[in-house]
Formats: sequence, structure tokens, C-alpha cells
Amino acid sequence: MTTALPMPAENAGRGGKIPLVPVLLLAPAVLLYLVFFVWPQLALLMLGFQDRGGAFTLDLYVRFLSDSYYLKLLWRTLVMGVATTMITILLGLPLAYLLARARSRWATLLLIITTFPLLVSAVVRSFGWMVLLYRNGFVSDLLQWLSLTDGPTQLMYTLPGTIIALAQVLLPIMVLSLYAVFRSIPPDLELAAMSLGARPTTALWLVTIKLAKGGIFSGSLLVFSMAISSFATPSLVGGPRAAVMATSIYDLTVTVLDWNFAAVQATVLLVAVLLLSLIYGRLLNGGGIKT
Amino acid sequence: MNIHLNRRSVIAGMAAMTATPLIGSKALAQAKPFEGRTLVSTGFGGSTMDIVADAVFKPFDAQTGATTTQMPMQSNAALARMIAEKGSPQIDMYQFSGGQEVDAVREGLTQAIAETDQIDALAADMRDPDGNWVAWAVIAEGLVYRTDKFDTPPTSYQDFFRPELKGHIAFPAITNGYGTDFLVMLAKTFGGSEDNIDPGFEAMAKLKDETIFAAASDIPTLFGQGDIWLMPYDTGNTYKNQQAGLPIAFTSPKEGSPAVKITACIAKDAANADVASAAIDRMLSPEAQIKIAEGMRWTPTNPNTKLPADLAQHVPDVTQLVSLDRAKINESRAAWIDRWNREIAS
Amino acid sequence: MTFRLLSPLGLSLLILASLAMIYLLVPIAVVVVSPFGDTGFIAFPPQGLTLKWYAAALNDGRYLTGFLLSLRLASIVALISASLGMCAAYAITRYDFPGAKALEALFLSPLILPTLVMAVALTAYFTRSGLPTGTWRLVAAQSIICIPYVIRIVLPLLQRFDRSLEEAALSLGATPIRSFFLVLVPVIRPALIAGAAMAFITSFDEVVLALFLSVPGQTTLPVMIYSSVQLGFEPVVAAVAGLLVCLTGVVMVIMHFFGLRTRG
Repeated sequence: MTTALPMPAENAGRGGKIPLVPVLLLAPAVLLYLVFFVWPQLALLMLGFQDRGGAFTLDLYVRFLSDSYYLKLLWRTLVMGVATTMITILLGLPLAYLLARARSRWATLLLIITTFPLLVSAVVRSFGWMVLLYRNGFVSDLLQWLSLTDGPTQLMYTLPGTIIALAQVLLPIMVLSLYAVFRSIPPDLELAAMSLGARPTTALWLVTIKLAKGGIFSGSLLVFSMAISSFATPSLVGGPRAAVMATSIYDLTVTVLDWNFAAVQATVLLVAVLLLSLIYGRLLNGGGIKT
Repeated sequence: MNIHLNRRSVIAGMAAMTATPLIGSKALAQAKPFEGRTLVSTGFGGSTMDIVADAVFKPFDAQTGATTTQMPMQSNAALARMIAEKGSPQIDMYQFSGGQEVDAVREGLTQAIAETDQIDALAADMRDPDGNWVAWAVIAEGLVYRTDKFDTPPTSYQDFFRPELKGHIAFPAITNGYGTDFLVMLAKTFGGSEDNIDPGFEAMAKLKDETIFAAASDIPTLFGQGDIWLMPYDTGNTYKNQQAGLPIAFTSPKEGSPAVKITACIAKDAANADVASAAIDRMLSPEAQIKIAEGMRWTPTNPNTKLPADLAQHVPDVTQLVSLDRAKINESRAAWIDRWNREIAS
Repeated sequence: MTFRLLSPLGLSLLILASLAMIYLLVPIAVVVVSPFGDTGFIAFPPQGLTLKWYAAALNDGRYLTGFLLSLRLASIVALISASLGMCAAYAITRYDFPGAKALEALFLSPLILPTLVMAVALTAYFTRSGLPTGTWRLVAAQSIICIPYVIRIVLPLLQRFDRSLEEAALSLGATPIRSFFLVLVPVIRPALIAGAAMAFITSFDEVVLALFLSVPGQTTLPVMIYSSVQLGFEPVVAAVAGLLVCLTGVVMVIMHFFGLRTRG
């Protein structure tokens, strides 16, 4: 998979004259990953290529890829991930930008407050959502008051409900990623653009958003990965009708005890998301990934 | 690692054995056979764990000198950890509520519990023939309903199909053991059985637009705010939610109340198997069983337990409960879940 | 701010940001407020008024023990993740070597795999390996899922950072390490703090790895909360979550007024 170690031989990057430096810098993290992540994970994921007797087979992959039910599961998972990421970008960009640019000291406090959803355990949080998303809950009332719907709407135990709940808990991650980048972009650049005749909107777009692209890419990757792998919220808020890969893997692992097929689903998820992140990086003009 | 641990506990045990007579109290040594020993058990979280601790482990520790720790873990996650720690378990004793003990025995993860008179006295289906697990309580499953919505209590699994209840029904997914048992009981109601599950799926398909939930944690909200009037669940949760102030009640349907076994078993190669055996025997003692029935409305399995009359009327007797074919259910679970995902949850 | 908040652009940003804040906080408000209700189940708006659930949460020593344990664990994990993650991110951006992309993918993978898969694999691996038991197992496992946050948050800043500054420092005779601390660290500080904060919070709220890898008797706060709802929800659990939110708020306000700003 991704075990390629950096080859010190031909690096000698501009900053370091001794190839030893990058190796030393990378060694702790890479060693930790090789010993306690790559090796154990490979051992488990290899189960996906074995039948119950331990002989090599691709049957389980064929089973997954030839069954429309599982493909639907994968599709629903990706839809959930993309929708969640889009919501967090839409709401996270303005929030992070204002927090980073505000001169008031209260902005720091507000930034801390945005992380509150992460402090509340997933079980308890989904509980709060249940109160809000049930058919006689707050969101349903709000939709009716806004005349967006006629009757009560049940969002609990549905995919849209899951997305709403997931985006809330992942929004802080997006805000934190973007905040760090916005802080590092001097406001002078926008002023410079405006002094050259750009309108504020254009200046904001041309300078700041473009410069923050790396942060948007990184934040999206974090949010997307977290969304498609999270279990508690889809299980409790989405319920069985909005089953996704993570809940399916959970059921296979602890209820059905079919670790081989769970390994197949985990591998498919991993490969699909890594491929998508590569494409996304290219789309964002090499945004976060080096070119 | 395992050998090391064992050696250490043996040395500790020997030290305790030699040290105590030096103090000069042989009687004390006999009275506290596990002085200085520890026992690690899984436990059900929250208030359940506290009630079990008060009924079983605290008096056990006081009497034997052992120190027991319960690690809160859901049954299915506990089994997964048990499998992953095969050969060198960190946990001596496991408590299960969803039939996991059968899988544990099949995977060779357990060892025999030391036999006692109390274990011998259990009904045949409340213990493993080879002594690898015992059921120290059972929970009666049946109909849970809103008392303010029913003039006369529901009586049968057929009540789920009454047209006036449409939109007010909830039931658990079959990845939850209660959901599996509901499926089996629907099959039985409409002429099927564990071996002929089709009628169950056909009946459940008629309920597929009703609320399907994953975990017991949703029950209070479903009854409290969700406008749910009827669901299949158990005495324990009914009692818990009654105490919380919800207007609900439990009733046994005429098709019978299935029993959920609450079991205990000892991990193979566990460092403190002897302490675990003694603790399990303690769980079966009438005083412990009465305390558990008082605290949670769980039915005692020791036939010599005599519940006080006022308590007995709320706790169905073990002999009145239906014992489902757990071996058959476990064997079919994977196929049923796969079918259920496609036919009911989609 | 380079534009007026009351301009159309400023207003639309402000409205979106306010919506985001409301969206973030409403479910938290439900969790904090509902345990004040007198009912044994969660109702919102709460019915009646009682402090008994909050009192029960405060009086149950195990929640406090779990909280302190989680606090220690999260601090260690955040420290390890921040240092290892920053070093790795620096190496990835500063040196051209084959496999850098593969490394980026490697450092994202733990977030994509469901933690249950990681937990099962690691538990089996530890058991077979015969490595000593102890809290370090959980620390290592949680660091693996926390390092990606640090790397992903620090990486974009490093990529944008002007290398000529560093080179200037080097040409003025600073050692690479000195130039690193003098030039680079001040610039990436907000990202480093944000990354460390994410690592801290992730570890602090992590359930599955803790469930599988914890040492018997050491039950973290999220595990206590998670398993206490197995057989039904209890308002005391919501009260514990409410206390956490309030405590964080209070600590932040105190830090604010004593000028201990975390701002970079």
C-alpha cells in the first residue's frame, strides 16, 4: 500500500544540505505508523483476500463489487461525505474568515466556543439531535414556520438527518483548518488588491480564497475522511435505513463476526477515498498536494 | 507475557498464603481466600453496572478479600475484544446479554466454570452443557406500550398490525438482539419458526414504514417525545423508564415472552479464573438474585430464589418464558441481517 | 478587516457566520439545558426544574476520575502528535524525495479506516506480539489517529511559507534548528496550536480504541458515557456533557481575562 520509505539518497532538498535531516524528522512518525498502524492493519485487511479456511481468494471482492446493495452502500457513504464537506465549507469559510480577521479579543473566545460540539460525546450529541430532528421537534417546526414544508418532517433516522448532525460536529474541524491559514495571510494583500482597483468581493476572492486553497483542501480531506468513517452519528441518528459503510463494517465486525468481509469493505473504503482525495487535489490545482 | 502474569499472580498468591498464617489468624485466611487477588470483569454500563456491583461484587469482595473491577463494555464489543485478545486475555470474566457466549464457546475462548451446587440446580437451558457459561438472570421480552393510549393493554404480536396504531409503532433493528427476537416471534405468530423465518420477514415488511431504531438509548425519547405507543422490548427497560416518569407498561403477549439470557463466562487462559468462578457462583446466590430483581426487574435463574410477593408480581417467572432456539438463531444471524438490510431497512 | 462589515459583502459573510454559530450551538444548548428538566428522560424544552441530574453527575466520583484520566491521556497524546506531526509535515514540504505523496496518503489513512477496524487489528496485534501491557498501548493508538490532524492543518501553511526567509536566516549564519525556531515557528504557531487542539479533543472524545486497548480499571470519560447508555439513556450522562461544556467555557473566560491568549 503506502509503505514506501523516503529514499535519502537523491533528496538533498534546497533547505538541508545533509540528507540525514529529513530522515530524522520523519523517522518517529513513520516508525510509529509502520509498527503500530501499517503492519497490524495489513494483517487484518489481508483477511479480505482469504476464505474461511485461509486460502487465497478474490471471491469476497467479487461479492462486494457485483452486488448492487453494497455498491449502493458505498455510493450513499460517498454522498454523505461530499454533502457534509460542502456544508462545512459553506459555513466554515465565512466563520473562519471573520474570526481570523476580527481585531476583537473576543474572537478567540468565539473560536473556542466553535469547538464545543467536539467536546460533547457522540452519543449525547446525537441525543440532542434526536430531540431536534424528530417529527415534532424543533427543525420540523422551523421548516413549517418558514413554509418550506406543509406537514411535519421526520429527519431522524434519515440520511439528510445524518448529514445535518455530522456536518455540525465536523464544522469545527473545518473552521480550525481555515482559521490557521487565514491568520497567516496578511490583510495587506487584500488592501493592495483593492488599491489596484479590485472591488472588495474580487479582492477577497482573488487573493484570500486563492491563497487559502491549501487550507480548504486540507480541511475538506479531514472532514470528508471523518464523515465517511464515523460510526456513532450514522448509527444513532441515521439508524438502519440510512446504513453506510462504517455501520456495515461495525455490524460485520461485532455482530456477524465476519471479519473477512469487514476487511473487504474497509479496504474498498480506504482505496476509494484515497483515489478521490487525489482527484480532488488535482481539481484544486494541486492545492495541498505538491506538484 | 501470559506466563509472566501467571507467575506473578502465583507468587502474589503464595506470598499471601504464607504471610497470613504469620499474622496468626488461620481462620482469617480461610475466610478470605482471595486476599490480595484481583478480578477483572466486563460490565454493563451506567446504573446497571452499579446495581450488579451492589448485589454481587461488593459483598463478594468484602467476603473473599478480592478486588473486582468491572469494565463497562457493550456485549458485542466485549466479544470482539475477547476474540482479539485470544491467548493472552486482560479480562478474566465476561458478562454478555446478546447470546455472545455461544460464539465465545465456539471460538474456543472460554474455560469451564468450577461446578457448584447452585450451578447444578439451574435449568438445563440456563447453562452450557460443558459448563462454559451460566445464565445468572433472564430478561423477559414482550410488548411495551403507552398506558395513556391504550384502554385495554395489547395482548398479542398481532396488535402491531392494528390500523389505528399506524405511525405509532417502533421496533429495533435486528443487529440488536431484541430485533432478532421480534423477527422470530413474528414468524411464530404467523405460522413460522426459527427454521421457517419467511412469515416473520413478510409480517415485518408490513411494518417497514414504522420507526426503526438501533439502540435502547432511543427508547425514552421515542416514548417521551416521539409519539410512539407500542414497541417490542423488555421488563428491564420498561421499569427503568417508568422510574423516569414515562407512562408505559410491560405486558407478556399471548404468543409468549422470549427470554434474553444474561450470562457470565471465564476467558480461557485468564489469570484469575478461580476468583471468577467464585464470583459467578455468587451471582447465582438467592440474595444476589433478589437484589438484581429488585433493582432491574430481571428474572432470577436460580430455582431456589424466592422473590417477595410484591416483587414477584412484576417479575415474570423463568418457567413462564419461551426459550428460543439460540443455536439456530446464531447460525442464521448473518443471512438474516443481510436479508433484513435489503428487504426491511431499504 | 479590509472591508466594512455593513457592506453587502460584509453583511452576507456576517449572516452566514452567525447561522454557522447557531447551527453549532443549538444541539449543545439542548444537551446543556435538558438535564435541568425534572423528567428522567430528556425533554426539550425541559419540563419542571431540578438540579438533581447535575448534582448526581458531580457526586459520582467515577465521572471525575474518568475526566482526570481522559485529561492526562489527551494531553500526552496531543503533545506527541503535535511534535511528531510537525516534524513529519516539515520534512514532507521541505525536502523533495520520492514517496512524499505516498506519505501524505499514509498520514491520512487512519482517519478513513473506521476506528473499530483499527482497534480490532491493534488488539490482536498487541496480544500476539507479547509487548507489555499498559497505558502506552492506548497512547500509541490514539497518537496514530491524531497525527493526521496536525499534519493536515500545518501542511498548507508550510507550503505557502516563503522559503527565502529561512534561507536568509541560514545565510546569516543561523543553524537550521535556530532558523526553524526563529523564523518558522512563529509563522506556523496558529496552525500548530489548532492541530494540537484537534489532537487533544480527538483523544479526549475517543471511544472505540479506549474500549479495546485500555488497561482494566482505567475507564476514560467517553467510555463511561458510551457504555452507560447501552441499556437505556440516563439524563446524568447529558449532565456530564453539560458540565464539560460549562467547564471549558469558564476556563476560557478566565484565561481571557488573565490575558493568557492562545492567539498566534
